[in-house]
Amino acid sequence: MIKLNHGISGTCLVAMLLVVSACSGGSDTTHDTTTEASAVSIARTASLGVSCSGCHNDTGTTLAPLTGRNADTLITQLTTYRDQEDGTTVMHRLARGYTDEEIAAIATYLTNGEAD
Amino acid sequence: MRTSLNRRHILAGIGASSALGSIALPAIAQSKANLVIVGGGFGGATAARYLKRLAPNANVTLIESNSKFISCPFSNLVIASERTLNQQTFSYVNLVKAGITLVHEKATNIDGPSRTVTLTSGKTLTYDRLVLSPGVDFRWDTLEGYDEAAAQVMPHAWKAGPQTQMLRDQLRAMEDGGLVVMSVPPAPFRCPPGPYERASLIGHYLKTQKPKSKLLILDAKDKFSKMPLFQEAWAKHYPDHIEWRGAADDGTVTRVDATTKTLSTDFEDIKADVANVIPPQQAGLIARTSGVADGTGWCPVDAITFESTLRPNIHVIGDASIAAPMPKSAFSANLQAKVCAIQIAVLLAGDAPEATLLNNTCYSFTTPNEAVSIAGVYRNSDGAFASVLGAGGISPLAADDSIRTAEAAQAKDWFAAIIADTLG
Repeated sequence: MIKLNHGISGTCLVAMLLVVSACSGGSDTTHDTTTEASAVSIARTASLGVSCSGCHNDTGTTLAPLTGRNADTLITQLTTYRDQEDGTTVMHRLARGYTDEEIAAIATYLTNGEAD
Repeated sequence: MRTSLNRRHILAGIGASSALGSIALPAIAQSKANLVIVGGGFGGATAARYLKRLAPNANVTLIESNSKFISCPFSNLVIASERTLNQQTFSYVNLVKAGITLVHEKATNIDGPSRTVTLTSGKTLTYDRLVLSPGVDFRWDTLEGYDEAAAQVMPHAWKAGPQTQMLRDQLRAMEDGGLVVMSVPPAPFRCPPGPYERASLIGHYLKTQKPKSKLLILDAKDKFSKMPLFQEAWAKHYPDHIEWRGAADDGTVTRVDATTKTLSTDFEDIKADVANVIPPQQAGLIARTSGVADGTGWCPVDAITFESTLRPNIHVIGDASIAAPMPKSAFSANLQAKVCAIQIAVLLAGDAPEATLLNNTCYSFTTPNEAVSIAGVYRNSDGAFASVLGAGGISPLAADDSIRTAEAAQAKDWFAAIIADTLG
């Protein structure tokens, strides 16, 4: 059961696994097919993910912890925030600005995926 | 997405060796560049920390004249006697532990062509890239009668510290039945919802401690951040204690007289018992003397790298930069610092910076136990910042008290997190 802020129940969640390559963000020209672009990809992943620590760390009582997260769960949670049309929390309002690709990048960053 | 055992081990290893709750940042650049950061607020301190992590071999120097970090966010709670200034005060020690050279001096000059910064001691530092995060200065010349001497009588309390304490003490010393007057300048200024959070908390203080007293807000604008939420809160909690007067209702203060604590509009002179004058603002002095501020008094930047469009190799972040529609908030400064640090590391590695998304979250207390919020998401492609349509916005109106108390609890978590992210 996934619990979002203000006690929104996880029963309405649609578990979705994301195929990152099939869901590119759309706004930017992608040029991450060559190996030398990997540093740039790491930077882009980080640049999307660093916003989270502006509110979240591991000492919060109401805001979710920053570390120790699972990427698939994070993607489901963030996508759910984005897609719940009647959601009013800060996370709902923020998530609406992100594409699937950008959400996946944030999940990768928060689960240290860029360290691979 | 993969969640490998290997990744878990990486996470555990990082957790053991760095601050609680920090994410493993990749070292993007191996460069031994000289990176100088001027200004140790939410922008500059964050930039220093992230640059050291992203370019661990670089020489990272932070120039900040104050020995302690005093937070503006939450300082309105101090003014309302709900919090102490001590609780707003933090050490820079973890930056030093992270390998950052901290210089407690003022930068007096930045010379772009020779890439040098001169300090008050006369010492000069050479930089490859400079991050300028000078915050705001007041335009002492634009509000007649309001200068640094007048601010000792009618505090601005718009930079946290002794001014915060002064306004708190004046409110405490005021007799019940007194009139508190706040003057709000035209935009842009640091922390757009800040005056109205302050008004709310002063309203709470008056209602509970000095119930025959009143706060009058004289505003140079007709609209303000989170306006319907604040107006709803004032009508509910402080109908007898807060009056707001906008520009269209003769709210613009054109002159003040510190000897009599009088604030004058075009048509009226109002004598205050306590006067809080928030002056018009501009980028910090060093930005203006080093040629990175334009005619507006603020600093135009490339939206992707935050590099000055007027001076190469100088990146301007935080309140001083022109990044609208991003607001001049602590959250913006902290995030701009992180994104700027990443792009500087990319540049040092010889790669091309890419556009990304930035966002902002800002909580404001309407009572000591209730808060409202605003959020926004911003694209920085196409050379400028633009709000992502359909995202962002304010807390719901006419919401249950539980929503307001939940956001107050979130605000407290936010404060702890952003302090940790900024100072380690």
